[in-house]
Amino acid sequence: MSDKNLDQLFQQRFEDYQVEPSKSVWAKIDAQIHQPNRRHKRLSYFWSAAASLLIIIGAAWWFNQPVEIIKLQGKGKSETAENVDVTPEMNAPGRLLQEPVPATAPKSEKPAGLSDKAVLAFREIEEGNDQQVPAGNIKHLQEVEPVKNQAPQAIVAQPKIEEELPAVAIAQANPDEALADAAIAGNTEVSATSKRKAKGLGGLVNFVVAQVDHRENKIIEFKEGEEGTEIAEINLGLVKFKSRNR
Amino acid sequence: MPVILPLNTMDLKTPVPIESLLEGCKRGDRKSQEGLYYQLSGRMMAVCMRYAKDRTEAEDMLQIGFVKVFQKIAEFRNEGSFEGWIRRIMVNSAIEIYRKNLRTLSVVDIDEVHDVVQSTFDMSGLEARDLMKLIQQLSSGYRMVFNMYVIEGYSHKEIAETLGISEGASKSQLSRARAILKEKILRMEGANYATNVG
Repeated sequence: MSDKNLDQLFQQRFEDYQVEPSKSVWAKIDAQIHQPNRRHKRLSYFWSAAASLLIIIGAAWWFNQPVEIIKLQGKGKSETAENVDVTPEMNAPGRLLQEPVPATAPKSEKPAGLSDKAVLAFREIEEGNDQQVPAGNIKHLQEVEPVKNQAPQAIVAQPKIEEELPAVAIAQANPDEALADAAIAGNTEVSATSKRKAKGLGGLVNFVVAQVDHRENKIIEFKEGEEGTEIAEINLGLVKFKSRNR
Repeated sequence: MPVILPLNTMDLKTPVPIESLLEGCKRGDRKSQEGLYYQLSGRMMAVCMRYAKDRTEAEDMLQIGFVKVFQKIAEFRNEGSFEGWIRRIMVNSAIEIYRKNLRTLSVVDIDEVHDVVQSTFDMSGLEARDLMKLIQQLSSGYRMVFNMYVIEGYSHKEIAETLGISEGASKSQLSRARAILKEKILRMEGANYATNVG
């Protein structure tokens, strides 16, 4: 038999040859093409969830940014003049709240941000901390004190806030103390608001993360802190961060 | 005489030209995909059986091959034979699996010599089924080269590149495979051979 004959024999016999496979084969093919590899699916789901999460976090930070403290004594007077008219209606008689807030405070989180800074700045001063207080804070402190000293009526109201303002009497004593009281009072009050809002954003983020990340230490987790929504911890594998207060 | 075994025509009672299923497959339409599978699974299983060492391995090759076909279907540009394109994917994935198994199994390069039962019918009676057995008895290196060169029509250069061997090795493996097959066929044929084949 020549090579050619052999080749032709095999070619011819196999040309239309068919063999029936087991019935289970199609099921396996079907499964693979319509439900891709679990790892792959989970991976792409993870990355799209992570991307959405970053957007949400970005938004949360964007809207929670502490606002630059603006108002100086000079400007403040004319504006506080307006506010003085408004506040007596809102506050309990005789009690005035000194709150370091810019006159134009449309959103509740702005006061939160400011009081954050106020409290922060105050603490740093009290502790004699050498840390550099952000310039905004220093400026703010300098503003507030002159305001206090000069005009007991210097009030900056929060006209847009619906809740009743727990007013605090301004002691004539220690300016620091007054500042502390004011700051804390304002803080607790607006914290309630900001906390409410924080529960919205941070809680939302926590919920989304919980769906995707089932680890003990999630990729990012928010908590309710004294100063509003804070990041409790971040876990990116290589980089891990945990808040002190956790 | 070609052997045609009954196919499972559960979903597609009448055979249709597979080209008509192409569009549906490109869309990921399950009915079209299933139709294509049932139309071609018999032929493609026969292809895989030649490359595999046993039926189980052949079914693995078939499954993986079809998954690749459906995943790559967008790449088929309506040029040339649709079945030919599918067949090439099937052969390539069979070779891939062969090479993968090659790493895990030690390949002993000796001829598998079995006692071939002497049959009384002549070569024209040698059915594809019989030849399939002969091919599967070849050790895997010879089997690959024989399949690719003789049945699939690859050149020695292409075989060398695909299998990662030299062209010379491809040629010598082919001639060795032919020699073994001839010998076995002759044994099967017995005395009738000389009179039937020129």
